[in-house]
Amino acid sequence: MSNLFKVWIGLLALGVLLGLYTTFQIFTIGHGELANTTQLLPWGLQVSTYIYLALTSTGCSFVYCLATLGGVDKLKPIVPRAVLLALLTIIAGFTSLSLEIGRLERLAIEFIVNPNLTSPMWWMGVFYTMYIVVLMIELAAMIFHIEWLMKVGSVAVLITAIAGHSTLGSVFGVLEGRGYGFGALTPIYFLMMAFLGGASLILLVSCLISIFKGSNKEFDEAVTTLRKVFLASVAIAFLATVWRYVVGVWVSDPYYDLFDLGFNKFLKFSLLLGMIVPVLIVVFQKKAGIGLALAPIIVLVVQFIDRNTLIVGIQKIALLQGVWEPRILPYTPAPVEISVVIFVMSIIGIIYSIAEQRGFLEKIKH
Amino acid sequence: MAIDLAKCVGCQACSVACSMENTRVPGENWHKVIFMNEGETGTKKFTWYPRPCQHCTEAPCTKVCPVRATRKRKEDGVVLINWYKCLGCRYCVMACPYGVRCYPEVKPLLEPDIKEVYHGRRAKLWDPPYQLSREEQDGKRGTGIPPKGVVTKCTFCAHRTDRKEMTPDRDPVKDRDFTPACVIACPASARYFGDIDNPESEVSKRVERKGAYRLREELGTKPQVFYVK
Ligand code: SF4
Ligand code: SF4
Repeated sequence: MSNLFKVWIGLLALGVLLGLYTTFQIFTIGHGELANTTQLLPWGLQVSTYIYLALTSTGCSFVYCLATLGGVDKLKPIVPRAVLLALLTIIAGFTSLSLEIGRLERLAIEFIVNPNLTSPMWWMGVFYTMYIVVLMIELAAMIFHIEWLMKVGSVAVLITAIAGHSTLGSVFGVLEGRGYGFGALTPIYFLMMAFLGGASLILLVSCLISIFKGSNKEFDEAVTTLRKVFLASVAIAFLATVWRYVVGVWVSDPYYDLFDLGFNKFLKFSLLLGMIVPVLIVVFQKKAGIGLALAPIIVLVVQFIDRNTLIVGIQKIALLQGVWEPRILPYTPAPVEISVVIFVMSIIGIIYSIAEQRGFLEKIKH
Repeated sequence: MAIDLAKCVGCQACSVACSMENTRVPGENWHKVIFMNEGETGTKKFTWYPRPCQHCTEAPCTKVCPVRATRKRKEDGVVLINWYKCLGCRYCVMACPYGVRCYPEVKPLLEPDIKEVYHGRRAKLWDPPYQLSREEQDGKRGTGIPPKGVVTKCTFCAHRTDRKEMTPDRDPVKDRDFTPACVIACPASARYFGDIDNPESEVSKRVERKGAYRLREELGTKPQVFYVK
């Protein structure tokens, strides 16, 4: 185990410890008391992190399905990695969400005893539970080489990923009263953006493996294909983002202001920095390495911020605002919310890094 | 409920009465009087809009609640929250287009934190010496002091109104004990509480006679609070 790896694991372990302490505080003092969410702005950084991670997980599953169902054989070396990352990111996402819920202890029982079939959130819970179970089965099938189960599992992963993630989009899509987030386009927008997150994370991980483990032919070929997948995912995300904003500027009056306020920033940030710069990097950097890794890093950071802008932005325009009330509601995440994000990210990092370092993922062949 | 905007003077007595009657923490505004600016520059007209929960006929909050903790009562159309089922996920807060739902367990608006001054006992969020009687506090209807981590909102004072059979109207003087606190507190008598389905009720008559409109009607939520002018 190299010293660098030890430092890396040490840092992540610190993140997990910080998170455990935060969790203890949340359960003893109360999340509402510690977080900066308010009566009027109830969903903050933790919810946007959940959506970001769910998005990334779905994207990882899409890339995985491209290899298994799409017949892109060159992606085979990343198959077990994609499944593990999909599983870790969705579990981390749910951890972030759970730590925001007021009465967590009621969640499982009430979801079963009192289902509300008109609620997208209920369906989201159902589909994501199925998704997590299917991913676990798929990983087990890979470890134990159960061929037929792997095939069936791939189809099930694809179906549950689409169902879960588009339902997550509809959680926001039905919010008719909030122009910035509402719309039938939202579930489709979420699906289109998902591919980008997953392709970026897998490209980043592949570059890091090449840097730290040295390159081999099979892996280099996978990276070449991943570059193309990444470019395709950016193209899809670009379309989805542009259309969303075009629709956005046409929605009713108060929301126009928000688009107007954010439009300049959006052009520079989401599209130029978050998509065009990474595309240029990927076009000119053909080999796996630090240069190429920069592209997915930029995308992942910009997407993280973009998710927060979207989720908080939905709530930022005060509903039925009066003359004396602030037109745009303020929100900055509190330390407790940031700690939860560090916590869940560290969980993903630590489990994945150890699995990779121990060669666990290399032993699994699809 | 019908509210006559021509009579409303914006004194906020209804908001204060609501907070006192229902023992809300500072910032947990079940009722607000919003000073709104209507019209274009030059023809601006300022209007006070008293805003309780609209008890929508097609209530988005009831549709989105994943565990049916918030329901519409069939008999009278009042939308209530069951605090023993609520998860505190705040999806309903997101879905309500009128911003009426509250999550009292947030950072205190004023110091000292009143929830700490009257520290919660017996699983209550807080426990002030002034509160509804034990019979009137009903977590299943969302009246009284909530437990930690749940969402709260205006119940049309269900603990008062439920004590009397449905009648066309509630007279704020004769039916004082069975009428929502905001209605009896209004010094301008701008608020009317009654059965909108009964053509004989004062609410129906006013809506019929003066014409009425509802907040954000374009959303199709069909509020049961009517504004007349
Ligand atoms: S005003 Fe809001 S809380 Fe009240 S019934 Fe309508 S949607 Fe529900
Ligand atoms: S906060 Fe409670 S009432 Fe509101 S949607 Fe969640 S479970 Fe339902």
